[in-house]
Amino acid sequence: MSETLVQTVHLTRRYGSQAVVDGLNLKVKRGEVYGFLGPNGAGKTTTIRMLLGLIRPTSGEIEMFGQPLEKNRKQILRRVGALVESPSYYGHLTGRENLEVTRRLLGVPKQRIDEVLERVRLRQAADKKVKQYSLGMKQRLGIALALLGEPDLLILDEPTNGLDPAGIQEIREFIVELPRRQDVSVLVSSHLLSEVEQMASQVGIIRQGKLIFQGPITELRKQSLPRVRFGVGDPVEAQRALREQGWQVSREEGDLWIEGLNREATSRVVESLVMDRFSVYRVEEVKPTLEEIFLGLTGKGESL
Amino acid sequence: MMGFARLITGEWLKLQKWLLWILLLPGPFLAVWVGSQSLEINAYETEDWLWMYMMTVQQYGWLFFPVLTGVFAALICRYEHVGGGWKHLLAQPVSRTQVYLAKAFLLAGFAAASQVILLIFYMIAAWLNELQDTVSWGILFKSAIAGWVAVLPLAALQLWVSFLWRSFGVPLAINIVLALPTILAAQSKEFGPFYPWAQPMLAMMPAGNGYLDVHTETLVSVILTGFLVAGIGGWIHFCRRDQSA
Amino acid sequence: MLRILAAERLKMKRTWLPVLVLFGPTGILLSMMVDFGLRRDFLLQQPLDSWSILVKEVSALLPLTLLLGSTLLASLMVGAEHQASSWKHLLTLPLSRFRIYLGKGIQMTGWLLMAGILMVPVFAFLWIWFEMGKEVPWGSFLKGGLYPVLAVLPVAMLQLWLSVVIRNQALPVFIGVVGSLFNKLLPAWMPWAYPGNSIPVQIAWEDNNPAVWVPAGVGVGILLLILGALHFSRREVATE
Repeated sequence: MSETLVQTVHLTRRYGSQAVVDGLNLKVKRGEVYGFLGPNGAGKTTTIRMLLGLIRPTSGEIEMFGQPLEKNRKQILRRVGALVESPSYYGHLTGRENLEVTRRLLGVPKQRIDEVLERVRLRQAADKKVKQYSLGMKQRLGIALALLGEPDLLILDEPTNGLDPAGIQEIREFIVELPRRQDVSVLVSSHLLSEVEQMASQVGIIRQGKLIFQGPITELRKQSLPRVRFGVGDPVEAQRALREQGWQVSREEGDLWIEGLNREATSRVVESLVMDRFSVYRVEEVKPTLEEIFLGLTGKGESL
Repeated sequence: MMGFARLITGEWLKLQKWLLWILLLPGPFLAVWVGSQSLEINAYETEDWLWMYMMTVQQYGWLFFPVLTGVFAALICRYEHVGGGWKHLLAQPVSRTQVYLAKAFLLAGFAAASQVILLIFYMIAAWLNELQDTVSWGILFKSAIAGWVAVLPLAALQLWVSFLWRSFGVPLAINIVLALPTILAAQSKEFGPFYPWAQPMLAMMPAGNGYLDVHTETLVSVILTGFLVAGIGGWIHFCRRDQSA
Repeated sequence: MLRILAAERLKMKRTWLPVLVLFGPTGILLSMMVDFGLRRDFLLQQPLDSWSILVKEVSALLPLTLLLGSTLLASLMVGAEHQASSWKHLLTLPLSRFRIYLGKGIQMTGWLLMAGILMVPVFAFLWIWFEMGKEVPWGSFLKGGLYPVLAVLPVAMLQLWLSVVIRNQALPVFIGVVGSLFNKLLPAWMPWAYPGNSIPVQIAWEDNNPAVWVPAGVGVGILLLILGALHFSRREVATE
């Protein structure tokens, strides 16, 4: 059993009567890249702000590194690096000076600055004013700031927001390497499953403030039942015949579909079709893609 | 012309109305309050209503009014500076001249509103002190309008500075620092009229009452020149500038 | 705490802050040059000693400058954080929020004290230039510069808090401006009145009494700083 870094119990935050985060039970373990997924406005940023002590929960508890956040905020934050939404930077200072401001606050040795600059590949631009940085560079500076204190846990809120595909790819590879090379665990939020799929080992999916799935990605695949497609002659008649026997049959593109059939049930359907003298020329199990599962879970209209 | 009207209503929508009231009301109120308090110390042979008005203008005109204009100028530009709105606004199918004029128009409007509020408070104070029958309204209106005209060069200048700086504090700091010497400048007959921050007060002081008697022609020509320089300078600069932020 | 101050110092690099601190004393010097230059003889014939005359003239500007200066100082210092949306970053660092706020307050006090000390050469220059006396009263100069600065601390700390709490800097600056401009109308116990009543000479001036208002300024200043810091350490950071 590896150490649990983040654990929330019934974490809830209300604004007025509306619960933006509702009874969340998150669990992030050491060595994981935990993908925190959900459509925009589902409560991801609010949750992350609570994890960092920026706002207080209405009810529920947060434990990080086995200690309650409320009491041990400082000790906990010493082990956490964070990038919340857009990066924070002083435009009139250079990248190096921005890091130096935070370095002084953290009291870490000076060579850390060069190390993190190297890690996010900003060495070349270190002495330019941040005003002149591109969006991607600012984002990387934000990650450098988060890494400065040698955290055990990195919390990144939509780190690829506004980046170009190359930039996204770069950040992604960087995050995947963190647990392996530096023993840094990562909690990363995103509204894109495809993105999280490529870096996270664990996912938590949040929708309207509620956690609707938490576990390994492989588990997510198993969550939804495969559908079986039957290619038959005279599908209209066949559908009616099957329905009379009590099967939930739908008809799409001239094929019949039944959800959630196991092997035995499948063979029974085929048997009854053949007995009724319908020609069966294809039986196929169709697994939904992860994206379809995600959309199914979060509700189609809200995902974009 | 329709586009311009829409621009102005757009600008108006962006503003937080409650903030306007908070900015507009306290200054005139306090100034008039001081004015009415100083009725007791009217040692000269000035008519009471005039004395009250002069004391009011002294409080209101010499620092508050110019600084208020600066606050408004910075406020009008703030929404663009903060949300990265310049690039959005200037990418709309409107000319930059129109954008500049819309902002300038609004700023002049606020300055006028402040004058109106001052007059209203003064009227209330005059009525409370039972001076309403003695007041010569013509002089008051003339004074208020003159003060408004005299603040326009300053307003144009501050609008220019506010376009330039992203930071809210810097244009205001410049404004306030330059407003301070008014205390001295306003005492000098030669120098006073040429100092933009002293002009509103000088213009508002009813003439011929032993106070600093500046030739109206001097003041008018200086104000006009100042307005043209600051207005045209700001306008041209605004139109030519690259918009990076 | 030292770390916070060191970080604060670096943040102010390439900003207008030091310029502003220089501007105050310089502006007063220039204004007084004009003032004494035009009417030195008239001013010096008053039945007072030279130091009282000098300090009285300067006090037409110094308290007001300090009040407005504190307003701008607070807004510039805190505005930089708002603009960089750096509160959320700053507060996720393992630092006590109380101390982060304290750091701002101490830094601000430092700048103000510096402005006060810069008044010493200003006084000295005027004293010597306009030949006000043989002996140069350095001690009085230091008092003349520092007393009003110590007395302005409550307003400075109030402005600091306002600038932190209100994101739109138009409002705190405006409140500061109104408070400063009308400082003479307020009852003596209001913080805006302290600097004007802390002039270190005995002049016929109603509430002028540095022995009361300087300690009051320091005391209330510290109190407001602590209250502000307490409030800050409880505050949520939702939108910045």
